[in-house]
Amino acid sequence: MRCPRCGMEMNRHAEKAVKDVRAEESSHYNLAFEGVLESIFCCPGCGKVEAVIENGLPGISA
Amino acid sequence: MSVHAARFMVEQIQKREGVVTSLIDIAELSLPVDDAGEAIKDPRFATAMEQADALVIVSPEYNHSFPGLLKHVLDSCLKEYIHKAAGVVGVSAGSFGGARMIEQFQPILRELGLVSIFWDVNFGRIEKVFDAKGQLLDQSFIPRADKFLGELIWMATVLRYGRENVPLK
Repeated sequence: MRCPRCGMEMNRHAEKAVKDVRAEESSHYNLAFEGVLESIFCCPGCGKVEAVIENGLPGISA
Repeated sequence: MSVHAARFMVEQIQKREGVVTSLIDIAELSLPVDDAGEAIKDPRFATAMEQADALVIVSPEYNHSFPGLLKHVLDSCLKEYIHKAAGVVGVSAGSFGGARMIEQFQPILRELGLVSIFWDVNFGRIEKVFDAKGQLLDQSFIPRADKFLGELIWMATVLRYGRENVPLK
């Protein structure tokens, strides 16, 4: 994933299960983790932080 | 009196070469209280959290815990905290220096993705530590803060390297 601010390749350093899911994110709800999985990225160039919602695992996503 | 402790910590941080810091007084953020979480995110606070490598949280202790307003403010961000260092500085009128509040804080830091350090600064009997103008009366807090900051900066440096260079497998 490219940094939207400086264009550098971002590092995916964490995943976080977010429990308080907004309605527009419900298609990404992951039953295994009882929430939405977000990947957290950090840009080594400018320090920008991005969180991206992942799809649920095949067969168990609501 | 917590503001005296917070200003003291800022002064100690500013002595560290290569470290940039700013004091955020949550009373000045004026977040709404009819909602919570990222829905009420303050752009200035979120930007400060994104830019920070570490947080020094200075808090008084009320009824063995931290003020609800502090939790309300911290809850307004999430991704900005992940894999960043945090240390808690306790302030109290009694002798424990916020120790019980700091213990209460640990599960919250963990859930926010912050990495807690094992040094604290405990300003017990705060009215004897600072005078009414905020002048430090007890010099023993200088080496205590120094140990705390040494550990915090080490953790922040390691975590920044990790955030920027070590991919999650």
